[in-house]
Amino acid sequence: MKKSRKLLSLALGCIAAACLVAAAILAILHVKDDRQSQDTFSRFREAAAQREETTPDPVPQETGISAPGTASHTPEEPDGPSAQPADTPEPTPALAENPYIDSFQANKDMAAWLQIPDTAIDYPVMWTPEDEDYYLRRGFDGSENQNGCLILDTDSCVDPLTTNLIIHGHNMRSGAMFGSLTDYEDEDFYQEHKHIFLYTKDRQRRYEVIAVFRSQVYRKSDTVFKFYQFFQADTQEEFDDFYDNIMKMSIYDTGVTAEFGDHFLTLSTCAYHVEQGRFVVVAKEIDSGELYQPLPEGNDSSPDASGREMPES
Amino acid sequence: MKKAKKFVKKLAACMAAAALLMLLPQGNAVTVHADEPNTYAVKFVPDKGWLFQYYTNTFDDSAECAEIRYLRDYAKEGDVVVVYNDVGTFVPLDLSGTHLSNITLVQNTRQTILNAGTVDDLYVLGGSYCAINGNVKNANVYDLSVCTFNDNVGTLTIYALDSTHKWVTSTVSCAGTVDHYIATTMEENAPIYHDCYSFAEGTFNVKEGTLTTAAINYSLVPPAEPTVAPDAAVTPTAPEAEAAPSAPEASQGSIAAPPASDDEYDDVPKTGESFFCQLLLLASITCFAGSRVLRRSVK
Repeated sequence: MKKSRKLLSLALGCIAAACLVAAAILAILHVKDDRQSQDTFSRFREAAAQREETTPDPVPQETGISAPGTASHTPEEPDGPSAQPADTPEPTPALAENPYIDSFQANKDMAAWLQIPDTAIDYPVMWTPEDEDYYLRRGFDGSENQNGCLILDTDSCVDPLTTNLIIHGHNMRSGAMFGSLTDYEDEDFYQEHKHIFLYTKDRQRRYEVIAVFRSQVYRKSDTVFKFYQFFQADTQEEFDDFYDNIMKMSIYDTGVTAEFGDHFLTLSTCAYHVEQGRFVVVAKEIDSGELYQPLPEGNDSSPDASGREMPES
Repeated sequence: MKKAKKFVKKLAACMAAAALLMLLPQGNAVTVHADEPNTYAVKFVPDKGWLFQYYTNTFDDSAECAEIRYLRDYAKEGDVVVVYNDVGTFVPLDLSGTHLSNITLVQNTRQTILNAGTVDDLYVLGGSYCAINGNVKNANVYDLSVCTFNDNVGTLTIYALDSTHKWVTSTVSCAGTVDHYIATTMEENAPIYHDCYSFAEGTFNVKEGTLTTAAINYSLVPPAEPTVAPDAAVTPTAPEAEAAPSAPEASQGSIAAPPASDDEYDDVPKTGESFFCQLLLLASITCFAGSRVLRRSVK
């Protein structure tokens, strides 16, 4: 009896040790994934910040003299009362450079860059219509990564723009990806973070949060409002169906309204209040922004959903 | 030692049972072919509009139902729809966008405007009033009905009450073309009252059984080359009278259980974080605690 208990105790001890070692390895790998993806994103963020600082004003100033770096200059008015003023050529408004040009060129699967100022949410958004889940557990460079990337729903489209863009992201306990999206449950947090920016290839779009709610993924046979199935509103009725439901479900009144023809951005992440729960933030586009310069031709060695690898930087 | 042996035997038995349980669900899996036609019952409810129930041909007023716009998500090619309307309405029933195999308007359907898209077989049962938008391959109109087709019809069959009445009682018109018109009854060896072909667009008109279309606008012989109206079938010879409409028989009960596949969740990316690491930690703590307890009991 004593022997068997001793044996059992030893066995349990070994199992405990094995589980501990496995948990430690997983935790280390997780931290490594975290660090790797943060390094990649940090580089792109810094590059974008630098570009935004140095980007000239694309609109000619009131004096008629264009900002340096633009395509043309307005000649100064000649001196002397007898001199006839020279014809002032139409200044060509110069397009600003996309601040995320580096990241767009690094991976052609990138559809946009999502940024919520003063939060950790500052990530690229990947779009792989042939395999929606490709970047769910892969980093920006295509390597395996538990954090994954933010993914644009395959039924959403940036060009041409669908009525609603749905972006899915992991709710990471570390706060990465959409880990801090649930902070919107606090109305005070919402008041300080009303705006969301989406940088697409051609422009910067600004959104204002219109609704915040908890929902879930339903069964196929359920006939209820499914926020994740609204992409396009071609009729007033379709628009009203989405709009009325999100306003009804919103946990607080943002005071923001929308009408047929408006565009939306829906951010969705897992929530644990119910099985298949989701926490959702919906924002309305308020400014489609100025156009950026067209991106140069893509880099052939950039990774895509077919699995090609990115060369080391 | 004996106890340890018993314990090991029990453990082995549990593991064997677990293995069996894992295998069984595969053997007992219910497979449902996704492309089997489904039947939907649709009804106009005052103040609520058109509603539907799925996987049933009888509308149960006490059962759960959904707005008709959701039917557009569910209906697929080849599905069957049974329409009920006992109050009459100008609100159209929009079933367009899906090629349905069978739409049946039950007996005594009050005023109904149906946007049907493309339909293979349409049945307007006795005493019904309706307007049909959309091309119909085979339209069957039963006694005492008033029906207007606003698009093309391939084969239009109008059924009289029976041969003792000797005559067709319905009023039917068509704004499109009608390739083949037959007036008959549902009996065996039924007489053929009308058997006409190639009605020109907007000319077909039967008023209380009487064909009022000018003779110049149709033919009594089948065309040499079949004229094919969009999605319409062409029958060069008089068809046999159908014994009974293929409208599904009324059944008791509310919504039938959906196929097993529809119990699955919608396909949405899973954005939760794995808790495997935490589970391992918990298992480690539990095993360690168990080990310590056993050691103390030995001492």
